[in-house]
Amino acid sequence: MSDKNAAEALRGTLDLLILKTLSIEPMHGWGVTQRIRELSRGILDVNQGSLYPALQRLEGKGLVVSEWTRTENNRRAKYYRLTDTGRAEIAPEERSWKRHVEGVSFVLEGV
Amino acid sequence: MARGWWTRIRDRLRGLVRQWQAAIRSDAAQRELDEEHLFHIEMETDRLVAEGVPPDEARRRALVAFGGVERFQQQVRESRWTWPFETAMQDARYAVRALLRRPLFAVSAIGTMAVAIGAATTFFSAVEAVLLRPLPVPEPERLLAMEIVTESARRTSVVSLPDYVDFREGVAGTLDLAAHHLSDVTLSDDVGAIPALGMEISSNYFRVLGLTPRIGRAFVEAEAERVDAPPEVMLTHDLWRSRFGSDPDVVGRTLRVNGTELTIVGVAPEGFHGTMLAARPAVFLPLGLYGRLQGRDISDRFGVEWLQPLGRLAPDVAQERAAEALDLIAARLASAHDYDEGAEPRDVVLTRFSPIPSGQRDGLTRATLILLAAAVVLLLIAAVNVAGMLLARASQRAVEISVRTALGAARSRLAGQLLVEGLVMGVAAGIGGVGVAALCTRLVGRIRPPGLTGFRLELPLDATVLAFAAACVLATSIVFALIPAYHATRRDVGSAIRGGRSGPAATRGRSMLVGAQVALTLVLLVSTGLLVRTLRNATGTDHGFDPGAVVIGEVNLRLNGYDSERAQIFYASLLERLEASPDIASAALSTSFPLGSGWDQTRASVPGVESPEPSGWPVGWAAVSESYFETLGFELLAGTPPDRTAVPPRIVVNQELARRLWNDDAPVGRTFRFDENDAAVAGVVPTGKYRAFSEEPRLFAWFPLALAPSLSLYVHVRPARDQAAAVAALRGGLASLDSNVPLISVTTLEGAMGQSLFFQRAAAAFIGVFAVFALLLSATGIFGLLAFTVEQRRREIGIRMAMGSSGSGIVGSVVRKGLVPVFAGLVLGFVAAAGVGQGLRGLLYDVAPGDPVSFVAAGLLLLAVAAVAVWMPALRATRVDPAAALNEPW
Repeated sequence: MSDKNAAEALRGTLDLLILKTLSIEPMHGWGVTQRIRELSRGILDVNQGSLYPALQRLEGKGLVVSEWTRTENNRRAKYYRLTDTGRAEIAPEERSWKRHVEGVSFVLEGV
Repeated sequence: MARGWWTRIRDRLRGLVRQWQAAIRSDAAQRELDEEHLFHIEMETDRLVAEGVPPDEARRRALVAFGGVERFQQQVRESRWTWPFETAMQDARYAVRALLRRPLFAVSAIGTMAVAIGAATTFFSAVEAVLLRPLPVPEPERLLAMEIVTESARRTSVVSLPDYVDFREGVAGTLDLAAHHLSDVTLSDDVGAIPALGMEISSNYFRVLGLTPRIGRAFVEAEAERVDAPPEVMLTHDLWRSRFGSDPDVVGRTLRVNGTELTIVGVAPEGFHGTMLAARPAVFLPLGLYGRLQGRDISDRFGVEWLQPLGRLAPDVAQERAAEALDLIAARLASAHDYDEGAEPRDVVLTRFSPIPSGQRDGLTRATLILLAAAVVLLLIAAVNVAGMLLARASQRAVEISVRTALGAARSRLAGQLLVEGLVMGVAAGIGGVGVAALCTRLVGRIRPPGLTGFRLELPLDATVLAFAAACVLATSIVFALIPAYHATRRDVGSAIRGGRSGPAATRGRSMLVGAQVALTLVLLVSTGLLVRTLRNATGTDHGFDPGAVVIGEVNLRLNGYDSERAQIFYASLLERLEASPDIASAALSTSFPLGSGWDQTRASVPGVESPEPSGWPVGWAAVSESYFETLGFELLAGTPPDRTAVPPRIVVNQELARRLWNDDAPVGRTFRFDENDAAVAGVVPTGKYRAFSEEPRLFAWFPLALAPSLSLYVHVRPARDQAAAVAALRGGLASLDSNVPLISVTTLEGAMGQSLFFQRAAAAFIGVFAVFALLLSATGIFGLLAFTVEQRRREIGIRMAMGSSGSGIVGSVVRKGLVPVFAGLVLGFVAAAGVGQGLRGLLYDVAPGDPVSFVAAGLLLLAVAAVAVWMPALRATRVDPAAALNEPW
C-alpha cells in the first residue's frame, strides 16, 4: 500500500469512528476524543491534529453539522451533530471496514 | 428513496455553503477555530487536573498533546474546498499591494492597456452595430433581400411599385414579400414643422418581420399598395412617446405629414426603428401614399424604381424554389414589357437581408473593419510596451522569485501567483478599458454625416461587446503573467541571487518587442499619411469656384404638398426676398450642389462629330437660377450666365465639355444637342469635381432653372457680412412665405461638399490619433529598453571609462544597440505597410497605396522620434561615474 492509500484508509477509519461516536449523541470535538478513548478502552488516542480537519471535512461533505451551544458546565462549545446523510453513511462504511479487517486477519492468520 | 436522495443533496449543499462562508469570512472562521481549540485545550487541562496533575503541568501537556496549533489550523484551512480561492485572494491582495508600491509602473502599464482595450472595444462595437447586430425581429436570418440582375449584368435591389406587386403576388406561398423605402418628410401641427424621416412600407411589412404593432393595427392588405391608399400613418414608439405623450388612445387622432392630414392607425413596437441601418424614421406610411405625399407618379412600371423588397421564406420552403418563382415572374415581366436594351431582368438572386443599403455596404464595411484593425494594432503595440515593462520588472523580481524557490515555494504555486498578478492587472485594465469604451462609443455615436435628418448610429456596449473586452483582458492578463513566469523559470537561483541582474536573454527579448512595436507603429503612420494626403488632395482641388462663406440649405416643397406651379412662384419670391436682405450679398437656387446628391446625367452631341457612344457624350447637369454663378463665385472663362429667354436656350458648360465636343476653349454661341433638344453655349467655366473627388474629369452643363423647374431645391446664399446673420435672413425669408416649410439641413457649402469625404475624415482622425499614441508608446519602449541596458552595463561602462574609453565610443555602442531593433522594425514595417496600403486603396484619392511621400515621411518621423529615445539613455551612459560604478556591490 502506498503512503497515499494508507493515509486515505486511516482518514476513512477516523471518519467512521467520528460518525459512529456522534451517532450516540451530538458532541464537541474534545468529547469525541474522550469517547473514542473510552470506547477503545484507551487503545485509540485520536490526535487532535487529525480530528478537527476531519470534522471540517465531514461538515463539508454534509455528513455532520455544527452549532455553538452551552455545555452542562455552561461553557460555549461547538457541538457536532450527524445529518440524515451522515447517519445513512455509517452502515455501509462499517460493512466495508469489517470486510477490510476480515481480509487483513485472514492474511495474518494464514501465513 | 427519492427522499433520501433529496436529503443527501440538501446536506451536501449545506456543507458547501458552510465552507464557503468560512472562506469569505475568513477572520470570523479563524476566531471560531481558535475558540474551539482553546475549548479543547481547557477541557484536556481540566481532565488532567482531575487526574491529579498540577494545573501548570496539565496545561503544558494539553498543549503538547494538541500539537503545534498553527500547523494544525493550516491543515484545517487546507482541508476546505475553497482553499484555492483563498490562496488566489491572498495572491490578489499581494499583487495589489505590490502594484501600489510601484504606482508609476502600475499607472503606466494599466493605463496604457486601458486606453488600448477601450479603443479596440469601441471599434468592435462599431463593427457589431454595422455588421453583426441582427435586426430586433424574430429569426432575422430568414429574412431575404431580392436583387435583380439585368441583361447588362447590372444589379439592382429596387423595383417600381407595379413590379413589386407582381413579384409579391407571383411568389406568394413560398415567400412573403414586403417592401420598404426611406424618405424625408415634414411633420407639422399648428405650432410648427419639423423635418423627419418616414418609411414607406407594404401592408405585410410587420407580418414579414414577425412583429405586431404595440397598439392599433398595421396597414390593410391590398389597400396600402394602391395609389389611392387611405390616408393612414403608423407612429414609431419614439414619436408616440415624444409627441403624443404615450397616449393610449392615440389611434384615430391625426398627424399632418407633408401637409396632408393622416389618421393614426397604430404604433410600432418599442425599440424597432425600421429596417435600414442607423435610420430612425418617425413614421411608417403606406407605400401607395408615396406618390401623393412626395408629388411623384409611382403608377408607372418604368418610372421610379424606389422600393426595396424584403421577404421571409415560408416554413419548409427551400430558398431555391422561391428564387425560381421570382425568376419566372422576372421572365414574364421581361417578355411582356418594353425594356430599354440591356435593362431586361435576367435573373433574380435572393441574398440574406442586410439593413445596410447595398451601395454603402462595401464602403461602410471597409471603413469599420479598417478602424477595428487599426485599434487592434494599437492594442498589440500597447501589449508589447507593457510586456517590455514587465520584462524589466521581471528581471528585478528574479531575485525575489529565486529566493522563494530556494526556500521551497512550489513552482506551481509561484506560477499561480504570477497568473493572479497578471489577472489583477488585466482586470484593472479591462475595467478602465470599458470606461474608455463607454466614453468613446458615446462620442462616436454623436458623429454623423452632416446634413442628414433622422440618422443615428448607436454603438452598443452589450454582452457581445463586453465579451470582446473580456477576451482582450484575458489575452492581456496571460501576457502579463507569462512573461515574468517564463523569465523566472529560466533562471537558476544561484546566479539570480549573486548577480541580481538579468542576462542577455531578457534584453534580446525586449529588442525583438521593440522591433515589432516600431513595425506596427510605422504601419499606422503610413496609413495616416495616405489618408491625410488624400484629404489634402481632395480639399485642395480647384473647383473652379469659390465656396468661401457660402451657406447652403435644402428646401423641399414636395414635402409640403406644393404643386409645380405654386412651387415656381414660391421659389421666385423667396429669391427676391433673399436678394433684398441686407445680410445677403447674393442668393441662388439649384437642383444639386457640387459633390452632393441630386445631380442628373443626360447625353450631349454635336451633329457630325463622333462621340464614344451613339447617343452622345454622357453629361452631368444641374438646373440653376441665373444668379448661381455670381453667388458661388464661378470664374467664367468666357461668355455669360445661362439665358432662358434665348432660343435655343443658352447654357453654361465646363471646359471639359468644350474641349471634348469642339476642342475649343471658348465655344460661346456654338449649338449642340442636349438631352434631345437644341442648346447653345452661353459661357464656359473651369472643370471641377461633381460627383466624387476621385472622379475623372467629367462633362458638365448648367441649365436654366426656369426650363426645368423642380420642387426640391438647394438655396445658396453668399453672406454680406457674417454667416449667422445670413442664415437668420434665410430662415426669416422662408418663414415669411410659409411657416410650414422647414429648412432641411443648413450648412456651409464647404461642409456640404466635405460630406463625401466623411469616411476618409473619420478614418484619418481615428488612425491619426492611434498613430500618435503608438509613436509615444514606441518611443517609451525604445527609451525603456536602452535605459535598462545602460543600467545593466553600468559596471562595464565604468570599467571602460576607467580604462580611458572615450564618451563618444560608449554613446556609439549604446546607440548601435538601440538602432538595430529600430531599423529591423522599419524594414518589417515598410513591408507590412505596403500590404495595408492596398487594403486602404478604396479610401484613397490621387494617392498611390505605395505613395513614397507617405512612406518616407512616416519613416523619417519614426526615425527622428527613435533617435531622441535612443540618444537620451546613451547620454546617460557617459555620465556613469567609474569610481561609483566599480564600488557597487557585485
